[in-house]
Amino acid sequence: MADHAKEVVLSVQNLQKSIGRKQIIRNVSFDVYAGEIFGFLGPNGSGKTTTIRMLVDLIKPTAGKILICGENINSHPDRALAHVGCIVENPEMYGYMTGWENLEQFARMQPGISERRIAEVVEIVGLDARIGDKVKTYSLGMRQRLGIAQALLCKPKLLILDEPTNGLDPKGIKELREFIRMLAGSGMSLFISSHLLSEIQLMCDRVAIIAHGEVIAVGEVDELVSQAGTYTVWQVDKPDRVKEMFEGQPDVQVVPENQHRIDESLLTTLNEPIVTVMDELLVTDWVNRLVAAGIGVQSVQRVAPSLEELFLKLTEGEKIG
Amino acid sequence: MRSSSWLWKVVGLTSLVCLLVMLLGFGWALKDTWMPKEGLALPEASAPEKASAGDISSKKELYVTALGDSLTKGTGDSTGEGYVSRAIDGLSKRMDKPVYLVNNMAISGLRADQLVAKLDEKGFVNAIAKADIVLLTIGGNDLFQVAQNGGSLVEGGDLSPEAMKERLPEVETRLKEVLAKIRKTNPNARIVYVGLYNAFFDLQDMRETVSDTVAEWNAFAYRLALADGNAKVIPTYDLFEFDLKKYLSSDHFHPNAQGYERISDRIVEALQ
Amino acid sequence: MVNLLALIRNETTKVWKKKRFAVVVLILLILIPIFVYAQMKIAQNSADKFNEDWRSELQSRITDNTNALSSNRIPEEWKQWRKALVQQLQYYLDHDINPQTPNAVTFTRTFMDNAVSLFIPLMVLAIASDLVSSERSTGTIKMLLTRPVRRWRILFSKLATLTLYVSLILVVTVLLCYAISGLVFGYAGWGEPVFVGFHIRGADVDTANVHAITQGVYLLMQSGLIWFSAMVVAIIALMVSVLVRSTAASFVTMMATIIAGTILANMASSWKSAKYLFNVNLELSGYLRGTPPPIEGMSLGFSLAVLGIWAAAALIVSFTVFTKQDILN
Repeated sequence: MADHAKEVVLSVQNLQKSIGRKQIIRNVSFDVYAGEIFGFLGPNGSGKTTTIRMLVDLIKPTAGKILICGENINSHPDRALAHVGCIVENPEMYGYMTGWENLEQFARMQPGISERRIAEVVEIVGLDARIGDKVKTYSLGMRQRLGIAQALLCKPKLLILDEPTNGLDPKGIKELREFIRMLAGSGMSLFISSHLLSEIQLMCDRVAIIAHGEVIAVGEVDELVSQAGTYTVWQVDKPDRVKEMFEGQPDVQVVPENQHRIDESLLTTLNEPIVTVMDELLVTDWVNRLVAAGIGVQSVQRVAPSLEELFLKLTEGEKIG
Repeated sequence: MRSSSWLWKVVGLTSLVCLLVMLLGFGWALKDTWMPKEGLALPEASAPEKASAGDISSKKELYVTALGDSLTKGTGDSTGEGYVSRAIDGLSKRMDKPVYLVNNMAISGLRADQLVAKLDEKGFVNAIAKADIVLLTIGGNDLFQVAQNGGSLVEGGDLSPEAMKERLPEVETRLKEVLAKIRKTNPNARIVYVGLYNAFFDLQDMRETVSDTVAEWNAFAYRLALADGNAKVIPTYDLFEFDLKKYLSSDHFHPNAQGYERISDRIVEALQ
Repeated sequence: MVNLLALIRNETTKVWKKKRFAVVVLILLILIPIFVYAQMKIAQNSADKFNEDWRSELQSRITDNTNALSSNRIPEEWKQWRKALVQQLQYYLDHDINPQTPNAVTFTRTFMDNAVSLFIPLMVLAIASDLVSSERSTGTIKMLLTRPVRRWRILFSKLATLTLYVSLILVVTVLLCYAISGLVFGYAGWGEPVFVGFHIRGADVDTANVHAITQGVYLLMQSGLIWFSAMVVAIIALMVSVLVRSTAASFVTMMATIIAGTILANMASSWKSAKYLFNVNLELSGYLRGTPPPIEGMSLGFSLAVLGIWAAAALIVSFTVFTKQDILN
């Protein structure tokens, strides 16, 4: 892969963690390169949070190595963490202090963060108006911003966000997405965990998928998605006739509504969509045939399946294999 | 917004100073405990007060000091007053002037020989020197505590009238010493000695012998008082001869509230 | 490497902003006037009774305690305690020194003596108990420990902050006590003499080393000793705070331990090995004024050693656990 030429910001090698006799994390390995948005995907209880906590030295691994910018987090947590900004789970801050005082607290924990830098990150996250208020009066979205401001203080090379969209409203999620892209554009690497597959799909360049404490796939999001195959979604003025026409054709397969795994949100804007699986090359041919039959074709789009489907495919495959 | 800077300076510096002061105190305490140096020269205390000379009736106010054993302490009195407080209240009313108790220094079970030693203590000297009237009971424990194994009668020891009689001369000299010491400490005070009574008057077989000894003792005290000139003996033996049940408390040894009332009445009578 | 001073500044600011110290001052402002009022009533009462003659009052205390000695109902160790007290009071009387001159300094040192076993620890716990556990229960520990600072430095800064606040609490207690009681008893009394150096040998008091110091010096030494025992309470509370996630649980655990200590100190003289527990050794200022220790064989050196060992063990546990533990929630 071409990516190998890039600088590795985070390298996780054969990470293992046991609590008591139970092995929670088995052999997790992946690399995150400079400037990319790396997704970390897994359902709740898959070991996602435990892994993230190991990345930032909250939990000590039983075995394996974590290198951040070449520094081993276990032997030199202070040096390794100097390159990292993170929010683990909720952005909890001291509610009895103002946002500014909170930032001051964390600024003092690292050398070389000036008051100007604090003002800078406050501006980046757009909290200027409320920064003098006590944090306990903040909404969740504002706390999230304050958390990010805190994480950005040290100009990190790697920003770790654990389920960053949790509890945010759609507008907030959109803003966050744009914000994350902007950060990545400035050369920062982002490590974003989520159990929401569409999130990762929308935000990330590459992804690692974790289940039962193991990484079952690492790769480009697009590549992995294409492995799962794509759908062709039709919107026509006479859906019933079209369905009839598709019936019994060997090269077209209509997927009933409850069997496909496309994100609901993508389909809600469409009126009676017909989801099919067919070869890309046949689309033009079929448009012509439908038009010839006096049917108005409003739209044809190729829709990638969700990562949930991918996830199911990967794990099913594993079970079968 | 940028207020925490002065806060830190003030709190940090103040608490640092506090820490140093505490460390100094701690170190000083250790040094003083293990390597004590010469202490502070004691300042001259104000001299304790002394009673003025003169007669009881001519003074504007009177000070009373009480010494002795459980009788003076008031053991057996359910009101807790004993004869001392009653006598002071009575005197105050009768003579129409304030009468104060300097201190009641009675100790239960005190014997005459112990009192002799205590009379040298500063507290006793102070209190006696200040008094216009000294109330005193002593000797009962010496005489009645001669039963077997030294157990007192109240504790169930057998009374031995013979031993009691034998003991009498020795205790008498102690009483003499007591009175002499009080007089030496305070040349002007009226000393009031409350005499002994026979608490076992209802025990047929020892009524006579014990009463004999008690009478002899009281007579001796009376002679001492006479010799002193400014001392009085308050007789109590007749109170408890026939109304024993009425005036004795449940321990069959100490007077009850009524008994103390009668004793205090007599003291007031005698001091007028 | 981050300056430790910056971390201490962080912790100090947090405790202050959390208004923990304000609570302590508030408690003092409410309680001290109550005690002052009670003491004033007692003083008025005895002034009436003894015509303001302290010698009579002192003699009366001696007599009362001597009388109590002859009672069969009081336990033997109580008798020893009273015997020693009588001998001490007698020493004051013999040297014509009033042990309880009515002034603010006397009130303050008496108050501090009474506060050492429960009141001071309570105030120390108000700060110490949630120093670590509150970070865990609110989740801020995740922010704190993911900064590039070694964990031992974080805990050390908390310990240093605790030390500063314990010192501050003690000094503020003394000052408030003096300021408030002075309104009633007058602000004099720094130079009044106090005897120290009584050595208790069984029921006997050895007065060979007894010497007089001024009340001011006494108050300083007394505060220093109380500071030491308060620090030991604070360090053990810090350990509990590291081990227990909830602030309430850590406070209750510590308070129960302290109360158990005062109860044990009053009744455990037959259980000799109780003297190795930290909580029966907290009344260090008692050695200064010569109160018989709760259990035979205890001395200032002994208590300091026991407290020191407990504190050292608590520190080792705190630092080991804090630097190694996994933050799972």
